[in-house]
Amino acid sequence: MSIEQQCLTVLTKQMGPAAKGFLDRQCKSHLNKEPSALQKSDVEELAKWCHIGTKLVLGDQVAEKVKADILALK
Amino acid sequence: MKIQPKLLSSYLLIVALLITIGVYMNYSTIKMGEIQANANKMVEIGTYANTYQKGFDLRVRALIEIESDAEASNQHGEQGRMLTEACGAYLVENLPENSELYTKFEACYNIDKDTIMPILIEMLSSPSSNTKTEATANLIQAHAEVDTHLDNFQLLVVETIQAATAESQSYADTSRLISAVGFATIAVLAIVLALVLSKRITNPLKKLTDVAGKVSMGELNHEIKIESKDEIGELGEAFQRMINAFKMTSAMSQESAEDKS
Repeated sequence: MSIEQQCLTVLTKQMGPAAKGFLDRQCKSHLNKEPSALQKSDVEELAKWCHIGTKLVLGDQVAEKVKADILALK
Repeated sequence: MKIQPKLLSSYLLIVALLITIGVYMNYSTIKMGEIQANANKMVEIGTYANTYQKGFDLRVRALIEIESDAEASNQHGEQGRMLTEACGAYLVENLPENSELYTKFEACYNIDKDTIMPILIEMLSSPSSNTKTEATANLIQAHAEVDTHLDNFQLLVVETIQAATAESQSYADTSRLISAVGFATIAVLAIVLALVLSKRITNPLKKLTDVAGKVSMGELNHEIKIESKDEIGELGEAFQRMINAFKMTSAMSQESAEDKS
């Protein structure tokens, strides 16, 4: 399974159908790449931005969970 | 645990308790039936022993009447012989061997056979009145001995019947107690389980309904906290995910709009 798919699985658990749009936005705005081009080396940076983005909308608890789950993909 | 196994295990617990009580009641009924059958047998044995004693009395009466009223003596002698023979045979056959009752009756039977019968034969065969007087005295002594044994026998029969009645009563009392306590426990358990389970199901549903109502009015800042791991917990998680999706979609739309402007 690609990194994009794995990230989508993690995010879908917390935010359902909004996960795809959220991942698109984080990748394009902060990592300057398409989600399909995600590499293992991007995981740490992506986890950081997902944490920030999720914390703003869904709160600290969900954000921590998302960050931990993404980092576990390394 | 899911809701269905929870309900099923509660139901099975109550059924298991009911079966346990039923099995014990059945066992008690069987035991009481056995005890009652033994007691009935003892009553029958007591009746036969009583008749045996009456037959024995008739035979003694016949001996006393032999000089004064030969016809009545013959009649009583014959009746007495028939009764003692029939009842004696029944008792020997039906008493449990090696039991105390058997030993006691065997003593009477042996005195009758080994002591009384030879004296009677001697009396009938000897015309001497001296011999008859001596034989009558011996017979009266033997009769007294048999009487004592038969009294003891009857006493033992009564004691056995009383013990059986007490045992049967004890089974009946225990059955009554177990059924009362058991059914009370089941009733309390059923009420407690019904209350606990209904609370565990309805309380989270109430919470969900409350939050759903608020979300439907546009209030997305609500968190659903349902600890249970059953279907209601899963429903809560799914509902929370849906709220999160709404929030994220709404936030992203807002950001896009801001980016465009």
